[in-house]
Amino acid sequence: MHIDSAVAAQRGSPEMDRLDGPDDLAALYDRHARPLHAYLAGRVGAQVADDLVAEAFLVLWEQRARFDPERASLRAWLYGVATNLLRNHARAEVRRLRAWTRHGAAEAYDVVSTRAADRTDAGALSARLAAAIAGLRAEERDVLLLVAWADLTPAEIAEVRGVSPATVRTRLHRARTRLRSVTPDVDPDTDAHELRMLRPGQRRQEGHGHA
Amino acid sequence: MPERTTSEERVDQRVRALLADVPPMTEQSFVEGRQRVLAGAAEGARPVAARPLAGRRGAARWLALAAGVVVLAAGAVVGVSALGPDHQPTASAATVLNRAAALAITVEDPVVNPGQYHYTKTHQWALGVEAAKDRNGRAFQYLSETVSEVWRPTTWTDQWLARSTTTGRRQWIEGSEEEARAAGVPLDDAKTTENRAPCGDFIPELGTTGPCQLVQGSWNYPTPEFMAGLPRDPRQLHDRIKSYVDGQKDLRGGVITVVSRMLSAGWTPKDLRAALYRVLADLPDIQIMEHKANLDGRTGVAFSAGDTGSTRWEIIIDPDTGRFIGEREVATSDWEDVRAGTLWTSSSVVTGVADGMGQPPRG
Repeated sequence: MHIDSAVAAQRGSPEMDRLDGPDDLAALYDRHARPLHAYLAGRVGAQVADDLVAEAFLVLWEQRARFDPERASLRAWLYGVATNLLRNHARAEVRRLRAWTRHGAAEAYDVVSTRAADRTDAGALSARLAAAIAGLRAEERDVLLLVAWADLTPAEIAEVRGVSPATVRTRLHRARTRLRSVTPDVDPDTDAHELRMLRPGQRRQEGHGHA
Repeated sequence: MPERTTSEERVDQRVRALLADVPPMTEQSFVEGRQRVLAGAAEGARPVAARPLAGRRGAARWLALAAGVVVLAAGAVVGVSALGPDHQPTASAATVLNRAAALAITVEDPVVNPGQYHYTKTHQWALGVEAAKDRNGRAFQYLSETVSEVWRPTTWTDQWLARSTTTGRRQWIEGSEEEARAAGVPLDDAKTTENRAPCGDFIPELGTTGPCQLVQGSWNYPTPEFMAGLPRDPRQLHDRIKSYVDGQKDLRGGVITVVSRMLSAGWTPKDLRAALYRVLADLPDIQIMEHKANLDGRTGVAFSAGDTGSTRWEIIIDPDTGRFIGEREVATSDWEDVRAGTLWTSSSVVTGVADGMGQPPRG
């Protein structure tokens, strides 16, 4: 619930557009640290994320005169900074995504799984998806995750990454189509539900005679 | 904005769902981070020691920002080019490149006096592929134009200026302007932005490096100091580039892309430019893709070596003057609705000497 509610909270209230003093910085941190941490932890793990969150806020503060709120929100600049900081951890990110493939996400994050039973079909899907994300070009991965995990728009990403909106949209389109092959076009909930509803005999029939 | 297709939403939802497995920030991390941020801001201290940027992202930032895409782009002029090499029975790629090297060395580098500026203008067309489909059921595709101008002072750490213009001009490959607008495709309007910064650090998101941390330069950030330190012997220069390329997992296209990056900076000294041409001449798979490649009205020979699997890089050089004209990236295999042979990006580079920041170059 943490990420969805945090993102929803960010969406619900107006963006902060001032970073004049320490109070603004504290308010910005209180508001964005947790979702930013989730974005970073998803990419490079919680431990590195702890450091990068603090660093991203400090870079934003230190160079605040250069972030034009007319061009993009402070939140967008913050994620732009954080995404750039990730560049030093690109290899760790790919390793992590691949580990997800082998052991499932929970192990990749050093968390003891208490709901392994729930992670059967969904777990296999996550593993394939994580592997596909690891295989994306770095710039495509950045755009995809800034949209899906940080809720930025292509226009905002264009501003904070210094590329044209058309290029951002193209990268996003490329990323999504590359991932589409591992995310079959059926609704995930319906899919799982229907599988559970099927009787064993029906499943065997679907398997074309394989045991 | 057009409504996103169901399958796009589904991909996003599933990617978003991955985050559910990520443990939330602990209260301790939150509190400690807050203290670090507020204490660091009060002291004005930098949090982490400077480290060089890794990977393509750091590539020639002054160009990247300005052109919008240039060096980093995945992302073309004029629809579909000739796919295979140009088999016109003329001189070999190596011969033409060695001749260009011999010519390049005879052209004096421009003299830029204090108070004047190195001026680089990069004119780019980049492919945009939209999720929305046209009446043929194919993704809307167009090349959009950007022009970037950079004024670089004689002292690297002084203020630079970048003027970046999205012209709003498009060349349609699939669909049309009218059709796309009717379909709600968000097309970019004309827009010019200016950025000023020392050291060409125009994008204020440099994190660990901060402005002016990389004056010594790198392959990603070829400062004059870095260029001065490179060997002029083609074999040695090749080996230096090769060892860098071999260490970069994310670098597409191999040696030719690094050579292209060096040349695109716009202030490559003549002896280095000549050596880079000779490095290309010695690549085992160097070939001429087109004898009269037209880039932004200038014609040259397009060379290529290697293939990334989905695209290839081409360098365009004027064989009669040894001048570097530009580069382009061409699709070598079909991807979705983009056909092999489509140009993903094309950039032409012009350099000059300007008397003032923001002024066009002399002559």
